[in-house]
Amino acid sequence: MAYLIFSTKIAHYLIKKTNASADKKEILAYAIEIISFNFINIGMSLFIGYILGVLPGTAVCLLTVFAIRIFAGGAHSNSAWRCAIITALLFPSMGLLANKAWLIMMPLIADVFILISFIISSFLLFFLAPIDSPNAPILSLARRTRLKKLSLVSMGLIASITTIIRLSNLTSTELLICIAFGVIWSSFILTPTAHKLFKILDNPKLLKGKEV
Amino acid sequence: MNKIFYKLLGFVVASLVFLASVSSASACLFGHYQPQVPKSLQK
Repeated sequence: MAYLIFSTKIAHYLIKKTNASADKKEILAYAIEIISFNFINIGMSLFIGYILGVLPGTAVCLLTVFAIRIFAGGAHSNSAWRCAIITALLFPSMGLLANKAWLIMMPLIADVFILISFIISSFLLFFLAPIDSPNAPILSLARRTRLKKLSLVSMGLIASITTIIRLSNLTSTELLICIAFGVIWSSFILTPTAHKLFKILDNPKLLKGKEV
Repeated sequence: MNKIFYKLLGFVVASLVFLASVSSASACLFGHYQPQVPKSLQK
């Protein structure tokens, strides 16, 4: 199984030192890879968000996408480093866009935008989620059904929290727009268009019609 | 000191196995890259 050298080495060290069974090596390497890539991705996103002055917005986008994607899945890049670049650029960009958008949006337009984003995303989640990947297939129908339900529950919770925050004026519209962007992205990556986009990002030659 | 270190490593291994199980139960953990889930955790 293909894991990066550092995760395999750390897993090997842990197995040796703790006398754990050798069949746990793959599991440990997998967990180490998940922790390290998420740490790098989230850290880089927050750092760039901080530099751009949109740290809270970036954090809200990250949280929203995390809460839905964990159950709904979606398109993936086949390179860990390309994924890190996409994540590090995407979430601060969402924060920045929300920062500019709420300055020009009237409150009513912002509310309508947030409402429409939730409605469209809920439909996409209902019809498409969960989307698995070849590296993490969803084999059982029961698990597939459970993940769909949980993704819809998660979306419902985010919608409720957004409504409560909006009605009680707890925070600025900027952060609510960030939630909307997060919701839109989480549902967009379920679509065939997003899968095509990731394929093109993984292999830019596809854009010129040269399949490699 | 050594005993505590090995106990700590044991805790780290248990935590990593737990995280891998939780992660494999979800559709994906977060990022736009998905490492290969070990066969023993696929369900």
